[in-house]
Amino acid sequence: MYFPIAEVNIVVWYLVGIGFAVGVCGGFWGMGGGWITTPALFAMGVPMNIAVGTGLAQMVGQSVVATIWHSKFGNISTRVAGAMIPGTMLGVEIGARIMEGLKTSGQAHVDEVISLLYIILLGGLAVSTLLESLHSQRTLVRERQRRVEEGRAAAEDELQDRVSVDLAERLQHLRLPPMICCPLLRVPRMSFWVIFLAAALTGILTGLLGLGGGFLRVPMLVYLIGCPTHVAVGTDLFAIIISGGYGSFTHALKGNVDLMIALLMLLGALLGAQIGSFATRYVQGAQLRALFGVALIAATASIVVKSFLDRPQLAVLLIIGVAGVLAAMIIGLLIRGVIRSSRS
Amino acid sequence: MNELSAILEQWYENSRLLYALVTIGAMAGIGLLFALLGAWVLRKLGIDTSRLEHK
Repeated sequence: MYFPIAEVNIVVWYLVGIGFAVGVCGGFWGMGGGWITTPALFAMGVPMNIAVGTGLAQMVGQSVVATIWHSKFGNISTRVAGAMIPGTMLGVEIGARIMEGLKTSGQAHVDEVISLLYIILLGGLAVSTLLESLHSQRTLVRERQRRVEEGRAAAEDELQDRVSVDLAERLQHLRLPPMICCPLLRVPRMSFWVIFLAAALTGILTGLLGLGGGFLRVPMLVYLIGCPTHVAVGTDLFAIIISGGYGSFTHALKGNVDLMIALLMLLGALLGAQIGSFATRYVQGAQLRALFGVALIAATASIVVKSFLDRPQLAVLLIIGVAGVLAAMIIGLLIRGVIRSSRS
Repeated sequence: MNELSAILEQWYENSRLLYALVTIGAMAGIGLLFALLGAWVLRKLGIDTSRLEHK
Protein backbone atom coordinates (compact mmCIF):
# COMPACT_ATOMS: atom_id res chain seq x y z
CA MET A 1 0.00 0.00 0.00
CA TYR A 2 1.21 3.53 -0.81
CA PHE A 3 1.43 6.05 2.06
CA PRO A 4 1.37 9.58 0.57
CA ILE A 5 2.65 11.48 3.63
CA ALA A 6 5.71 9.26 4.15
CA GLU A 7 5.87 8.69 0.36
CA VAL A 8 6.62 4.96 0.65
CA ASN A 9 5.08 1.61 -0.29
CA ILE A 10 4.83 -0.81 2.65
CA VAL A 11 3.08 -4.20 3.01
CA VAL A 12 0.22 -3.62 5.47
CA TRP A 13 0.78 -6.90 7.36
CA TYR A 14 4.39 -5.94 8.15
CA LEU A 15 3.09 -2.89 10.00
CA VAL A 16 0.40 -4.85 11.86
CA GLY A 17 2.95 -7.58 12.81
CA ILE A 18 5.54 -5.13 14.14
CA GLY A 19 2.79 -3.31 16.03
CA PHE A 20 1.72 -6.60 17.65
CA ALA A 21 5.28 -7.49 18.84
CA VAL A 22 5.81 -3.95 20.14
CA GLY A 23 2.42 -4.05 21.89
CA VAL A 24 3.17 -7.32 23.71
CA CYS A 25 6.61 -6.11 24.87
CA GLY A 26 5.26 -2.63 25.75
CA GLY A 27 2.34 -3.93 27.81
CA PHE A 28 4.60 -6.40 29.60
CA TRP A 29 7.51 -4.08 30.49
CA GLY A 30 5.81 -0.69 30.48
CA MET A 31 7.73 0.57 27.49
CA GLY A 32 6.53 2.55 24.49
CA GLY A 33 8.63 0.48 22.10
CA GLY A 34 10.33 3.37 20.30
CA TRP A 35 13.53 1.30 20.25
CA ILE A 36 11.77 -1.16 17.88
CA THR A 37 9.33 0.97 15.87
CA THR A 38 11.66 3.81 14.86
CA PRO A 39 14.49 1.65 13.38
CA ALA A 40 11.94 -0.74 11.83
CA LEU A 41 10.04 2.08 10.03
CA PHE A 42 13.36 3.64 8.99
CA ALA A 43 14.45 0.32 7.46
CA MET A 44 11.19 0.17 5.46
CA GLY A 45 12.03 3.46 3.79
CA VAL A 46 10.14 5.92 6.04
CA PRO A 47 12.17 9.14 6.54
CA MET A 48 13.71 9.29 10.04
CA ASN A 49 11.72 12.37 11.19
CA ILE A 50 8.40 10.70 10.18
CA ALA A 51 9.53 7.37 11.73
CA VAL A 52 10.11 9.14 15.07
CA GLY A 53 6.79 11.09 15.00
CA THR A 54 4.71 8.13 13.79
CA GLY A 55 6.28 5.83 16.40
CA LEU A 56 5.38 8.31 19.14
CA ALA A 57 1.75 8.57 17.93
CA GLN A 58 1.37 4.79 17.90
CA MET A 59 2.96 4.69 21.38
CA VAL A 60 0.12 6.87 22.79
CA GLY A 61 -2.68 4.55 21.65
CA GLN A 62 -0.84 1.45 22.82
CA SER A 63 -0.03 3.02 26.21
CA VAL A 64 -3.71 4.00 26.75
CA VAL A 65 -4.77 0.34 26.43
CA ALA A 66 -1.95 -0.99 28.62
CA THR A 67 -2.49 1.76 31.24
CA ILE A 68 -6.21 0.98 31.55
CA TRP A 69 -5.40 -2.70 32.13
CA HIS A 70 -2.67 -1.93 34.66
CA SER A 71 -5.07 0.48 36.36
CA LYS A 72 -7.65 -2.34 36.65
CA PHE A 73 -4.99 -4.51 38.31
CA GLY A 74 -4.04 -1.70 40.74
CA ASN A 75 -0.57 -1.33 39.19
CA ILE A 76 -0.51 2.47 38.88
CA SER A 77 0.67 4.94 41.49
CA THR A 78 -0.92 8.16 40.18
CA ARG A 79 0.85 10.20 42.89
CA VAL A 80 4.30 9.03 41.79
CA ALA A 81 3.34 9.47 38.10
CA GLY A 82 2.06 13.01 38.80
CA ALA A 83 5.18 13.92 40.79
CA MET A 84 7.33 12.71 37.88
CA ILE A 85 5.74 15.02 35.27
CA PRO A 86 7.58 18.33 36.12
CA GLY A 87 10.95 16.58 36.57
CA THR A 88 10.54 14.67 33.30
CA MET A 89 9.59 17.83 31.34
CA LEU A 90 12.59 19.73 32.73
CA GLY A 91 14.94 16.82 32.07
CA VAL A 92 13.73 16.32 28.49
CA GLU A 93 14.29 20.01 27.76
CA ILE A 94 17.84 19.89 29.23
CA GLY A 95 18.62 16.72 27.24
CA ALA A 96 17.33 18.30 24.00
CA ARG A 97 19.54 21.36 24.59
CA ILE A 98 22.63 19.16 25.21
CA MET A 99 21.82 17.52 21.85
CA GLU A 100 21.66 20.96 20.18
CA GLY A 101 25.08 21.73 21.69
CA LEU A 102 26.51 18.45 20.32
CA LYS A 103 25.15 19.25 16.83
CA THR A 104 27.53 22.23 16.55
CA SER A 105 30.46 19.76 16.31
CA GLY A 106 28.88 17.92 13.34
CA GLN A 107 26.48 15.03 12.70
CA ALA A 108 29.25 12.37 12.82
CA HIS A 109 30.23 13.52 16.31
CA VAL A 110 26.59 13.39 17.45
CA ASP A 111 26.16 9.82 16.11
CA GLU A 112 29.38 8.68 17.78
CA VAL A 113 28.60 10.21 21.20
CA ILE A 114 24.96 9.07 21.24
CA SER A 115 25.83 5.50 20.13
CA LEU A 116 28.50 5.25 22.82
CA LEU A 117 26.07 6.58 25.46
CA TYR A 118 23.45 4.02 24.37
CA ILE A 119 25.95 1.16 24.63
CA ILE A 120 27.27 2.20 28.06
CA LEU A 121 23.82 2.91 29.52
CA LEU A 122 21.80 0.05 28.07
CA GLY A 123 24.66 -2.48 28.34
CA GLY A 124 25.35 -1.54 31.97
CA LEU A 125 21.65 -1.60 32.78
CA ALA A 126 21.25 -5.00 31.07
CA VAL A 127 24.08 -6.61 33.04
CA SER A 128 22.99 -5.13 36.39
CA THR A 129 19.30 -6.02 35.79
CA LEU A 130 20.18 -9.63 34.92
CA LEU A 131 22.55 -10.03 37.90
CA GLU A 132 20.03 -8.47 40.30
CA SER A 133 17.23 -10.61 38.90
CA LEU A 134 19.25 -13.84 39.37
CA HIS A 135 20.22 -12.78 42.91
CA SER A 136 16.59 -11.89 43.65
CA GLN A 137 15.30 -15.27 42.46
CA ARG A 138 17.93 -17.16 44.50
CA THR A 139 17.10 -15.12 47.62
CA LEU A 140 13.41 -15.82 47.05
CA VAL A 141 14.02 -19.59 46.87
CA ARG A 142 16.21 -19.53 50.03
CA GLU A 143 13.65 -17.46 51.95
CA ARG A 144 10.83 -19.79 50.87
CA GLN A 145 12.83 -22.86 52.02
CA ARG A 146 13.65 -21.21 55.35
CA ARG A 147 9.98 -20.48 56.00
CA VAL A 148 8.98 -24.03 55.08
CA GLU A 149 11.63 -25.40 57.49
CA GLU A 150 10.31 -23.10 60.22
CA GLY A 151 6.80 -24.43 59.53
CA ARG A 152 5.47 -21.10 58.28
CA ALA A 153 3.57 -20.62 55.04
CA ALA A 154 5.46 -18.55 52.51
CA ALA A 155 3.48 -15.35 52.00
CA GLU A 156 4.24 -14.54 48.38
CA ASP A 157 3.42 -10.84 48.61
CA GLU A 158 5.90 -10.41 51.47
CA LEU A 159 8.60 -12.28 49.62
CA GLN A 160 8.25 -10.48 46.29
CA ASP A 161 10.82 -7.84 45.45
CA ARG A 162 12.19 -7.61 48.99
CA VAL A 163 15.77 -7.38 47.80
CA SER A 164 15.08 -4.37 45.59
CA VAL A 165 14.13 -1.82 48.19
CA ASP A 166 17.28 -1.31 50.29
CA LEU A 167 18.27 1.93 48.53
CA ALA A 168 14.67 3.17 48.54
CA GLU A 169 14.45 2.56 52.29
CA ARG A 170 17.56 4.70 52.77
CA LEU A 171 16.00 7.46 50.66
CA GLN A 172 12.88 7.24 52.82
CA HIS A 173 14.88 8.83 55.65
CA LEU A 174 15.28 12.01 53.59
CA ARG A 175 12.73 14.32 55.25
CA LEU A 176 12.69 17.13 52.70
CA PRO A 177 9.12 18.46 52.32
CA PRO A 178 6.76 18.13 50.56
CA MET A 179 6.41 14.45 51.43
CA ILE A 180 4.28 12.16 49.23
CA CYS A 181 2.33 9.26 50.72
CA CYS A 182 2.27 6.28 48.34
CA PRO A 183 0.29 3.36 49.75
CA LEU A 184 1.08 1.21 46.70
CA LEU A 185 4.83 1.39 47.31
CA ARG A 186 6.91 -0.66 49.73
CA VAL A 187 8.21 2.72 50.94
CA PRO A 188 5.03 4.51 52.04
CA ARG A 189 6.37 8.08 52.45
CA MET A 190 8.92 9.72 50.21
CA SER A 191 10.21 13.23 49.60
CA PHE A 192 8.84 14.77 46.38
CA TRP A 193 12.39 15.90 45.54
CA VAL A 194 13.71 12.32 45.33
CA ILE A 195 11.07 11.54 42.66
CA PHE A 196 11.62 14.92 40.96
CA LEU A 197 15.41 14.47 40.72
CA ALA A 198 15.13 10.85 39.57
CA ALA A 199 12.56 11.90 36.90
CA ALA A 200 14.77 14.81 35.79
CA LEU A 201 17.75 12.45 35.44
CA THR A 202 15.80 10.00 33.27
CA GLY A 203 14.28 12.99 31.41
CA ILE A 204 17.78 14.25 30.47
CA LEU A 205 18.70 10.84 29.09
CA THR A 206 15.32 10.60 27.30
CA GLY A 207 15.75 14.04 25.70
CA LEU A 208 19.30 13.20 24.68
CA LEU A 209 18.70 9.65 23.42
CA GLY A 210 15.22 10.19 21.96
CA LEU A 211 13.53 7.21 23.63
CA GLY A 212 10.11 7.03 25.31
CA GLY A 213 11.98 6.47 28.58
CA GLY A 214 10.63 3.10 29.71
CA PHE A 215 14.12 1.57 29.54
CA LEU A 216 15.28 4.00 32.18
CA ARG A 217 12.11 4.84 34.11
CA VAL A 218 11.14 1.26 35.04
CA PRO A 219 14.54 0.39 36.65
CA MET A 220 14.57 3.83 38.32
CA LEU A 221 11.10 3.27 39.81
CA VAL A 222 12.13 -0.19 41.05
CA TYR A 223 15.62 0.51 42.39
CA LEU A 224 15.42 4.17 43.42
CA ILE A 225 11.79 4.86 44.33
CA GLY A 226 11.13 1.34 45.66
CA CYS A 227 8.12 0.45 43.47
CA PRO A 228 7.22 -3.23 43.18
CA THR A 229 8.03 -4.20 39.56
CA HIS A 230 4.38 -4.44 38.46
CA VAL A 231 3.59 -0.97 39.87
CA ALA A 232 6.71 0.43 38.15
CA VAL A 233 5.49 -0.95 34.80
CA GLY A 234 1.97 0.53 35.20
CA THR A 235 3.20 3.90 36.48
CA ASP A 236 5.71 4.17 33.63
CA LEU A 237 2.97 3.53 31.05
CA PHE A 238 0.92 6.35 32.57
CA ALA A 239 3.96 8.66 32.26
CA ILE A 240 4.42 7.58 28.61
CA ILE A 241 0.87 8.78 27.75
CA ILE A 242 1.84 12.27 28.97
CA SER A 243 5.28 12.48 27.33
CA GLY A 244 4.25 10.55 24.17
CA GLY A 245 1.06 12.62 23.84
CA TYR A 246 2.98 15.89 23.94
CA GLY A 247 5.67 14.50 21.61
CA SER A 248 3.26 13.21 18.96
CA PHE A 249 1.17 16.42 19.01
CA THR A 250 4.19 18.63 18.40
CA HIS A 251 5.57 16.23 15.73
CA ALA A 252 2.16 16.17 13.98
CA LEU A 253 2.16 19.99 13.91
CA LYS A 254 5.58 19.85 12.22
CA GLY A 255 4.31 17.31 9.66
CA ASN A 256 6.29 14.38 11.08
CA VAL A 257 3.40 11.91 11.60
CA ASP A 258 1.87 9.56 9.00
CA LEU A 259 -1.40 8.81 10.74
CA MET A 260 -2.31 5.92 8.39
CA ILE A 261 0.92 4.05 9.26
CA ALA A 262 0.34 4.77 12.97
CA LEU A 263 -3.26 3.46 12.75
CA LEU A 264 -2.19 0.20 11.07
CA MET A 265 0.57 -0.39 13.63
CA LEU A 266 -1.89 0.45 16.40
CA LEU A 267 -4.24 -2.34 15.20
CA GLY A 268 -1.57 -4.94 16.04
CA ALA A 269 -0.35 -3.09 19.12
CA LEU A 270 -3.84 -2.90 20.68
CA LEU A 271 -4.16 -6.68 20.78
CA GLY A 272 -0.51 -7.10 21.81
CA ALA A 273 -0.70 -4.53 24.63
CA GLN A 274 -3.68 -6.30 26.22
CA ILE A 275 -1.88 -9.66 26.06
CA GLY A 276 1.36 -8.16 27.45
CA SER A 277 -0.41 -6.34 30.31
CA PHE A 278 -2.45 -9.42 31.19
CA ALA A 279 0.71 -11.57 31.25
CA THR A 280 2.21 -9.48 34.11
CA ARG A 281 -0.41 -11.07 36.41
CA TYR A 282 1.16 -14.49 35.94
CA VAL A 283 4.89 -13.70 36.00
CA GLN A 284 7.04 -13.04 39.06
CA GLY A 285 8.78 -9.65 39.34
CA ALA A 286 12.26 -11.20 39.18
CA GLN A 287 11.36 -13.18 36.01
CA LEU A 288 9.91 -10.02 34.49
CA ARG A 289 13.21 -8.19 35.14
CA ALA A 290 15.30 -11.07 33.73
CA LEU A 291 13.39 -10.91 30.40
CA PHE A 292 13.78 -7.12 30.47
CA GLY A 293 17.57 -7.65 30.78
CA VAL A 294 17.50 -9.81 27.63
CA ALA A 295 15.60 -7.05 25.76
CA LEU A 296 18.22 -4.51 26.85
CA ILE A 297 21.07 -6.74 25.59
CA ALA A 298 19.31 -7.03 22.21
CA ALA A 299 18.89 -3.24 21.99
CA THR A 300 22.58 -2.73 22.89
CA ALA A 301 23.72 -5.36 20.37
CA SER A 302 21.66 -3.75 17.57
CA ILE A 303 23.36 -0.38 18.21
CA VAL A 304 26.82 -2.00 18.19
CA VAL A 305 25.97 -3.75 14.89
CA LYS A 306 24.58 -0.57 13.33
CA SER A 307 27.20 1.91 14.56
CA PHE A 308 30.45 -0.08 14.61
CA LEU A 309 29.86 -2.85 12.05
CA ASP A 310 27.91 -0.53 9.73
CA ARG A 311 25.18 -3.12 9.05
CA PRO A 312 21.84 -1.27 9.53
CA GLN A 313 19.70 -4.04 7.96
CA LEU A 314 21.24 -6.65 10.26
CA ALA A 315 20.63 -4.36 13.26
CA VAL A 316 16.94 -4.03 12.35
CA LEU A 317 16.62 -7.80 11.76
CA LEU A 318 18.25 -8.42 15.15
CA ILE A 319 15.96 -6.10 17.09
CA ILE A 320 12.77 -7.18 15.29
CA GLY A 321 13.75 -10.87 15.62
CA VAL A 322 14.42 -10.57 19.35
CA ALA A 323 11.19 -8.56 19.87
CA GLY A 324 9.26 -11.33 18.06
CA VAL A 325 10.88 -14.09 20.11
CA LEU A 326 10.32 -12.20 23.38
CA ALA A 327 6.66 -11.55 22.43
CA ALA A 328 6.25 -15.31 21.80
CA MET A 329 7.89 -16.09 25.18
CA ILE A 330 5.57 -13.66 26.99
CA ILE A 331 2.52 -15.26 25.33
CA GLY A 332 3.90 -18.68 26.35
CA LEU A 333 4.27 -17.54 29.98
CA LEU A 334 0.70 -16.19 29.91
CA ILE A 335 -0.72 -19.47 28.56
CA ARG A 336 1.27 -21.50 31.16
CA GLY A 337 0.03 -19.18 33.93
CA VAL A 338 -3.62 -19.42 32.82
CA ILE A 339 -3.42 -23.25 32.65
CA ARG A 340 -1.79 -23.50 36.11
CA SER A 341 -4.30 -21.04 37.53
CA SER A 342 -7.29 -22.99 36.18
CA ARG A 343 -5.88 -26.25 37.63
CA SER A 344 -5.35 -24.86 41.15
CA MET B 1 -8.30 2.04 3.18
CA ASN B 2 -6.94 4.12 0.30
CA GLU B 3 -9.91 6.51 0.67
CA LEU B 4 -9.11 7.01 4.37
CA SER B 5 -5.47 7.63 3.47
CA ALA B 6 -6.55 10.27 0.93
CA ILE B 7 -8.79 12.02 3.51
CA LEU B 8 -5.95 12.10 6.05
CA GLU B 9 -3.58 13.50 3.43
CA GLN B 10 -6.11 16.25 2.67
CA TRP B 11 -6.29 17.21 6.38
CA TYR B 12 -2.49 17.08 6.51
CA GLU B 13 -2.26 19.56 3.62
CA ASN B 14 -5.10 21.88 4.75
CA SER B 15 -4.62 22.30 8.51
CA ARG B 16 -1.76 20.93 10.58
CA LEU B 17 -3.51 21.86 13.85
CA LEU B 18 -6.59 19.83 12.85
CA TYR B 19 -4.31 16.98 11.74
CA ALA B 20 -2.42 17.04 15.08
CA LEU B 21 -5.70 17.08 17.06
CA VAL B 22 -7.11 14.22 14.96
CA THR B 23 -3.86 12.26 15.53
CA ILE B 24 -4.03 12.57 19.32
CA GLY B 25 -7.81 12.05 19.41
CA ALA B 26 -7.70 8.99 17.15
CA MET B 27 -4.86 7.31 19.03
CA ALA B 28 -6.29 7.92 22.52
CA GLY B 29 -9.89 7.21 21.43
CA ILE B 30 -9.10 3.95 19.65
CA GLY B 31 -6.92 2.85 22.58
CA LEU B 32 -9.74 3.51 25.04
CA LEU B 33 -12.29 1.76 22.82
CA PHE B 34 -10.15 -1.38 22.47
CA ALA B 35 -9.43 -1.54 26.22
CA LEU B 36 -13.19 -1.44 26.93
CA LEU B 37 -13.81 -4.00 24.18
CA GLY B 38 -11.12 -6.30 25.65
CA ALA B 39 -12.68 -6.06 29.12
CA TRP B 40 -16.13 -6.84 27.65
CA VAL B 41 -14.78 -9.89 25.78
CA LEU B 42 -13.15 -11.23 28.98
CA ARG B 43 -16.39 -10.71 30.90
CA LYS B 44 -18.28 -12.60 28.18
CA LEU B 45 -15.71 -15.40 28.43
CA GLY B 46 -16.36 -15.53 32.18
CA ILE B 47 -12.90 -14.35 33.24
CA ASP B 48 -13.26 -11.98 36.20
CA THR B 49 -10.11 -9.83 36.06
CA SER B 50 -10.79 -8.21 39.45
CA ARG B 51 -10.14 -11.51 41.22
CA LEU B 52 -6.79 -12.19 39.56
CA GLU B 53 -3.76 -12.05 41.82
CA HIS B 54 -0.03 -11.81 41.21
CA LYS B 55 1.50 -15.24 40.91
